[in-house]
Amino acid sequence: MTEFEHHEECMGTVFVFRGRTELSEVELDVALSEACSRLHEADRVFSLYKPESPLSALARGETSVAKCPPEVSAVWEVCEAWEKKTGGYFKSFTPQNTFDPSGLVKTWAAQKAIDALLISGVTDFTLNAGGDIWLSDELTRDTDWKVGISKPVSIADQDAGVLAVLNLRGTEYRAVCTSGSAERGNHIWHTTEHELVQVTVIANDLVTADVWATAAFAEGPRCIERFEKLEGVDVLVIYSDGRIDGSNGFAEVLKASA
Amino acid sequence: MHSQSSSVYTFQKATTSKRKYLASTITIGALSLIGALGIDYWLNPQSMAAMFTATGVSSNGSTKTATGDAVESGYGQVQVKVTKTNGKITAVDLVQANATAGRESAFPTLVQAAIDSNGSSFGNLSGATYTTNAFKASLDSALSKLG
Repeated sequence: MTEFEHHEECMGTVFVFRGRTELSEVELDVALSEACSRLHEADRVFSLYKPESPLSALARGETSVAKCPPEVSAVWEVCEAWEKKTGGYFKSFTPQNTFDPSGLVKTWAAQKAIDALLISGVTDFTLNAGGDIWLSDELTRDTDWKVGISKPVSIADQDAGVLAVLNLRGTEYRAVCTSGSAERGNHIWHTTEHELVQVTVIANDLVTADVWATAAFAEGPRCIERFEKLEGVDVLVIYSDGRIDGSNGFAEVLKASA
Repeated sequence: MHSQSSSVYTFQKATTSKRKYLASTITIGALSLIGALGIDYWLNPQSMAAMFTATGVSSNGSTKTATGDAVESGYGQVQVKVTKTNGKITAVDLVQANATAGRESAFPTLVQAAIDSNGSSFGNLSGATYTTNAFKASLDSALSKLG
């Protein structure tokens, strides 16, 4: 049994794979590099920061979706479906009507990486995709089942800390995604009390949790009513004045974690 | 959890002033008080008039636990669980709070309880997407202290 922790820089953030495996060191290296190649491949295709990427070319109107790699139209369709599901709060088109799937690509690619690791036989691990967390079904270490939720300040801030800890053992939730303004250099508290500074969504699936976290942050406090009607997806919100609220399902998880 | 919940869901002994009691129902804190009083009555029928019923009760030696009916009001539903040891209330826990105000007062309690029992013992930290630089800076600062 080998303990491993692998940091991979990609998409302007860091992906941390951590777990245990019976694979040999060489086999694990192969598995991890295969997983990480999925991340870098997605970055090459979808990055709007890289002028040479197919998506940048698409945004400049120099190419069409049909001429792009097939995953572009696949992600396009996934984005459209999510836009409908979230009542338009998840958006993948800029006001200038260019396709910008950045809100989805990180976890979409992370899921590809997860699948690659699972297929390689690594089944006891967690992935931290720049603050979005995924847990495998077969975690053997107690602390791996526990996921901290950051206070709504940057992790690099001296006030960084944990707001709450969720214990997801025995639940259906495997993904914890947080959306907020903390890492965007926006340290000025909003003046309206009904504004949200952070939203955390739990779901079974990583992309689902990520998209709903983005959508909930965009929708604001009224998202809670929406989550009460959603199956298997729950939300915790933090207001600019520090108040905390959430869906009943999230309260249940907090209670079970205590 | 108990010490936190007692600050939000204060339990008070039954008073005979019905007017005072009615006035207090406009707050969610009072709603949980009502539930608690209902259970208190259930456990000690002599203590006050029959106003509420308990939906579930369990007994373990000298410790009794009872869950009150969900109390409905304009603010929504609030339901509490009362634990009695040797005839004294030792804990009042929130079971359910669908009201916006009730939920808002419940969450800080639940969040605090979840952190009290887990401390810094967790595998990963979920937060808004950080940059590579923020991640590296965090390794030298607060995050590394979190475990």
